Amino acid sequence: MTVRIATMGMAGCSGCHIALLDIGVKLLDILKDVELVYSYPLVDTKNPIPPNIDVALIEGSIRTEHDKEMAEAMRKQAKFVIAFGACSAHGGVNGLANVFGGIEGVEYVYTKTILMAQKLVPSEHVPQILQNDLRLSDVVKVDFIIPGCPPNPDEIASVLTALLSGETPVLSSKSICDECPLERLTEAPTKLRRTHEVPEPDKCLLSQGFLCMGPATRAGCNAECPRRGMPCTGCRGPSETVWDQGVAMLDALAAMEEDEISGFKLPRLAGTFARYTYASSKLDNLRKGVKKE
Amino acid sequence: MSKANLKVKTTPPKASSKLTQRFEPRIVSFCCHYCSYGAADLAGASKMSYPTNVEIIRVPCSGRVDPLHVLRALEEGADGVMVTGCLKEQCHFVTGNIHAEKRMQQLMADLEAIGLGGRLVFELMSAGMANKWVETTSSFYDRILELGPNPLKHMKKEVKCE
Repeated sequence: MTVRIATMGMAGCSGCHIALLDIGVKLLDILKDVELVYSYPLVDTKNPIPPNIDVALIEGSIRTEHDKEMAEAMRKQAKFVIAFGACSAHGGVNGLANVFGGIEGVEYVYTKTILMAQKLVPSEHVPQILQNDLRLSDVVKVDFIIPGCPPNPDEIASVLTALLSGETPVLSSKSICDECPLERLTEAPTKLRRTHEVPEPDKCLLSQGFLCMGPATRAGCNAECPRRGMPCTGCRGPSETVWDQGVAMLDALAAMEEDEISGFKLPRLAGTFARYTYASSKLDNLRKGVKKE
Repeated sequence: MSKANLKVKTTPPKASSKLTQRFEPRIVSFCCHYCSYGAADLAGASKMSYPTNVEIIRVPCSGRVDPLHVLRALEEGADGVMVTGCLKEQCHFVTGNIHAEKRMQQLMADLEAIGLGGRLVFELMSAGMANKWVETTSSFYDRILELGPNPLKHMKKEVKCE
């Protein structure tokens, strides 16, 4: 029996679809039992969404009325909806638009920046932009998430193979630090360091002064960035024991920071601590409430 | 007959006009067990008066207060949140109040950005500083009266925890 799979792209960069291809040879094993019925890189997506879809992978956040409509249409046809990637699962980088009040940011880009010759917000022949950037679960019921920006190909493969064999896929509940091969944090940072500086190998990046989001981030990517000397930016969203990634990281850093650290000013929650989760954070939830008033 | 009477009774009372309604703020105060709770206690014991709107939550240390606690309190409709701890270098847990200060200062900037500025205050006081407790609560109460009710009060029903 073939499993009918659909993929869909909303406000995103198609990076998650590329990650799907990145599965490599294993993809051939998966495709044996799979029928791709709807996928915008392959199928003409102007057609209505075909019925009886078993698994739908939806990439990107909900930014326009069109996105919202398509997500709802897909939910009607699909039995199992997966929020695919950071944008879909937690709001993603797109969610940072909410820092500037969602729609006001759009107006700024089209009317104030030099590049735009016409100084007009496009309104004809384009779908209406929503007030705020939303993650998928704000619009429809989501059965499972595959986090990451882009998601880890191995993880996509394991989730898909689990689903094909009728099992329930599981995400890791640990944090990045549990998977990280670097020496565990032993001392608090004494100096703030920027990403371009070269870290000492085999030593915790956070204790060297790099802002590594590992402690608050969900494991499952095999700590690919920290093990190569690149601090974690938290693309996989909050780990199982963390409610709000940005706040958790702020909490941890405030307890770690010494007074004498040169240039170590805690940055704003958004952008650094909640780069991928701002649209789903508590702070943004409050902002939306204030705006409504 | 009795049914008719019941019906009359169950009709909701007419909403009183805004002029007659006085805004009474609800202030949530996180007090550390060793110092500021003691200060509030002393203020009570020495019969000093401070606003009754302050609802005290005793925590082991001000360092225990997660920024999420403050956000949650505001989300649930508190008009103002106070976080109070021991004087510097007098914390029972050595650095709890210093950590709390950093967190709260950061959070104040973030609340300012989303339009809830001024609704969070962080103060340090020892267990003997009942005067300061009265001063802080009174001035914060006045500030909240000026700011008006929390704009998030209508959100109370759609609280999501994730």
